[in-house]
Amino acid sequence: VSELRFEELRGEQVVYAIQRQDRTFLPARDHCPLDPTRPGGAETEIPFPAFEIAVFDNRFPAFEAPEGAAEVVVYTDDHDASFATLAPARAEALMWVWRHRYTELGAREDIDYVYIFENRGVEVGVTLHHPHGQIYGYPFLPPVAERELAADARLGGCAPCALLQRELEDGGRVIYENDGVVVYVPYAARWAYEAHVVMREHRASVRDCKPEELRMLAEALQTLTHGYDALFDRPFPYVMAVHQAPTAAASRPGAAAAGQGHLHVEFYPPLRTAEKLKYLAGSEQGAGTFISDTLPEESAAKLREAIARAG
Amino acid sequence: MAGKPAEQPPEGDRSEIDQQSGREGPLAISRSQKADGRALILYRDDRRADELERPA
Repeated sequence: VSELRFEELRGEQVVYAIQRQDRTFLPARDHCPLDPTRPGGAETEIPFPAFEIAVFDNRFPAFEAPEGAAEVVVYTDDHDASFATLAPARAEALMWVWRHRYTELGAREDIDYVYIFENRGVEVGVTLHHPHGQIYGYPFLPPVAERELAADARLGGCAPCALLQRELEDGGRVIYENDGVVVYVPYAARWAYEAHVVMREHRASVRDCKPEELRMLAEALQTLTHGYDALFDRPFPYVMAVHQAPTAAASRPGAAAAGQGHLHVEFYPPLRTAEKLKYLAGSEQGAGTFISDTLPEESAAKLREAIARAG
Repeated sequence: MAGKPAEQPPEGDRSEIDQQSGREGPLAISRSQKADGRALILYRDDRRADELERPA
């Protein structure tokens, strides 16, 4: 069971999940716990010989009932796939899985914020290479979600709606768009190739999206991740963070107003060149201020070219 | 959002897949329980191939 301690100087929670110290770490290819269970073989996390998408409670959870949740979302039974290489129909199906888990976890009284994410690559701490994401159900509103609500208040309305409008008017950082979704490197990107995938219409969460919008969201996410892989012609590490409305009950601290929140997916890639990583060092960790070596406009141009190359 | 109690995994044989236990859009959902009691949910897209064709 995890323990929460409040760090007074930063005003944020720290989670102690000491059981995670023993979690599976980069197992051999033939010992992947996210593979299907082969006939006659050892049972994996998914005790069936084939599957499409599987979700299960994390064996080494950061949160667990009755104080949150930690789930693993396995995208496919193909160990060597990636989000980018999923068949488009599978990527679209994954959006429906997100919708299902957001709705079910968000309805729980002990969960204030449903956070869907993917860590890709050892550069961001991946311990299993099989394509998968995770879902944390936080029993409190985490700081980034809290700051997004504060941005709404500061800008006098939905902040992602306002920022999207600015990006569309400028156009210089937009790298892809379809009828439902716009992808851009944000004006104040912190990472060299950070990108935000934003619903055109105001949608608080995946639960509010029309089926066609979920399809277009999947399409945009795959276009971007294909482009990332083409950028340096190598598997591109990233953190993919799905930001949606908090699900805290109205009586809880940090509860969102009705309709507040705007579904968007943020990507934080640690590479600043093909071989060089951006480290969070003195300024980022000690002062909370990112120092970037690249201009978002230049990164956007390179990503547009990479997406075109990836075709 | 109004809260409600967590939905519990169904009782039954361990690591045995249940009958279809719900839907989410085009997905059929099957719930089961792993040997150690953790919940496992399997999703299957049962759209036909012609339903998966993309608009031009």
